[in-house]
Amino acid sequence: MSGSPRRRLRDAEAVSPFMVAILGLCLTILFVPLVIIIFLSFNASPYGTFPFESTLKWYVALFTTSNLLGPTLLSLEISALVALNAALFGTMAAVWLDRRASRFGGGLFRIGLLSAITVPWLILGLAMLLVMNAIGLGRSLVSIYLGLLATTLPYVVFIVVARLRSLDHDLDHAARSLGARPFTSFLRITAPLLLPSIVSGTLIAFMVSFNNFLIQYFLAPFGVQTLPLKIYTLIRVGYLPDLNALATIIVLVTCLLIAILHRLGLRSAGLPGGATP
Amino acid sequence: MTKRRLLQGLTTPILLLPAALVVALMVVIPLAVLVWYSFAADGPGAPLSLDSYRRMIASPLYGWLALKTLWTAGIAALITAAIAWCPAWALSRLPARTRNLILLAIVIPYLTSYLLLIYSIYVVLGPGGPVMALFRLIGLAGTGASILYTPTATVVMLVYENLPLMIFVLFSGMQRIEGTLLAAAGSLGAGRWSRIRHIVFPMSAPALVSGLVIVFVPMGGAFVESQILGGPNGLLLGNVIADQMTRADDPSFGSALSLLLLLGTLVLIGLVSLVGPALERLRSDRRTRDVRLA
Repeated sequence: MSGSPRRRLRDAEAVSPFMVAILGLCLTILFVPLVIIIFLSFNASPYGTFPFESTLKWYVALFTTSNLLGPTLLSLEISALVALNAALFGTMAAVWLDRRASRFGGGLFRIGLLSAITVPWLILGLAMLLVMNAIGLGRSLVSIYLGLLATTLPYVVFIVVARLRSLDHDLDHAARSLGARPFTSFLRITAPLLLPSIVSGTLIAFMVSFNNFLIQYFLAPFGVQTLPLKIYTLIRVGYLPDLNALATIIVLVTCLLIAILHRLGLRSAGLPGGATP
Repeated sequence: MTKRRLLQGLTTPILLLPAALVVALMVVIPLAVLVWYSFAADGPGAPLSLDSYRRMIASPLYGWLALKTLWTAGIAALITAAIAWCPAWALSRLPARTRNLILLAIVIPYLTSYLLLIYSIYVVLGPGGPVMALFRLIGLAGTGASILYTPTATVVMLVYENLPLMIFVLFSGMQRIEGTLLAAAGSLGAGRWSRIRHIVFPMSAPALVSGLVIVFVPMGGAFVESQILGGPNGLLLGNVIADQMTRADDPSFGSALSLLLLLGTLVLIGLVSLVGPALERLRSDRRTRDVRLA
């Protein structure tokens, strides 16, 4: 009723304050648990009780007396290995999908990749264990490696394929017409253009593999504990101040990785703004 | 020339080989073996039988558990969508700079280990935690009471960990809705509510359906959430499946239960994706009838 017609038109396109308020509320809900953990990691009480008394002793404990560091390092090592291999094999497969695949073969491969991320990992992990037991690998580091590789490959392949699709194939053709061999042309022309998406894929693969509890739960050898498995066994003990400290560090590192992903273009990483993987 | 062709013929399989081997060995073969094991109650060498399925049907417990699991996952998916809808819409209308910053923030819990998220919810929901303190303050809960170790806590966790994903999916659907459409509707006298109801909601319905499906599937396979937060009455089918593999050592029965869960999930998704078009047909029928009456 109020204002000029033009103003009313602009209002119709704008979002209502009510919706923005709910957005704020939703963000609060999302971050309250994380913020509380970060806050408590600086609290002196070993049971998370108040009054708040600031201390760094849980961080000191984390790096000296705590038994969380070993599992964290193991997780980091496994995930780094898995992510790098996923990046290499995933990029190769993506190039195949984009350039060489027959319609049938490509479709089949895609279905395999999609099943790796749509079938609940509880069921997939169990099924992997059945096969690993049957071929004699059982629960072992090799099994974990293969299982995590299978669940991270799809992310790399889909991210890199999306980038390959958007590339101008004429560049490649120009290099070829000037006498470059296919491999040279790939290395000098296509690979540099692909690099941001390969790095995004590697980072996503790293995070997925680092956090993939269910696959690790079924395939980890008895006695070997990755970080998610360690948290799983500790969580029932109750409140853990040194885990608060570790969680704070992990959240900060995650923020850093996300900042890197942002620089590389989140859209190419298949994250918000683009389609989900 | 032929040498080069030969080289090219060789590189094609080499490009695909590692990835295809891993996917075959860790995804395709395992899923096939899962089906096979479910029929091999007496061990993989013995003749196939339906014993595992018979056992599953003989006790009403498992069917009941499957229904409870699908019900929990379904409710959690709907609540997630209900909470995520308005924020996603607000995000899609905000200026690009603010929007990207908020999206970045939402990625943080999305990429944080969900065991850490479970742990943080565990701390937050505990009897001494802030949520129960708030409830006590309004008089909703007595001292020492907590929703921790109840099925409600499981639903809270499922919603919490899937909220970012739901926002992303809804947002990417809503982003495509042109502002000019809303302006046009506004200029024709449509109020705020009727613009949402008649333009935004129908146009973002496909994103809503895919969001529901995307969060529902992993929710159906949840088991850590219910094990740690759900308490004695909160067990879901996922817990029983995991136990068959780790404690009961009965892979055949575990496989049969997994297939029950997968099948149940697929049937429910099928039903949901049928509801949309059916409603659409109903609505267009009514519209044509109205036109005819007029």
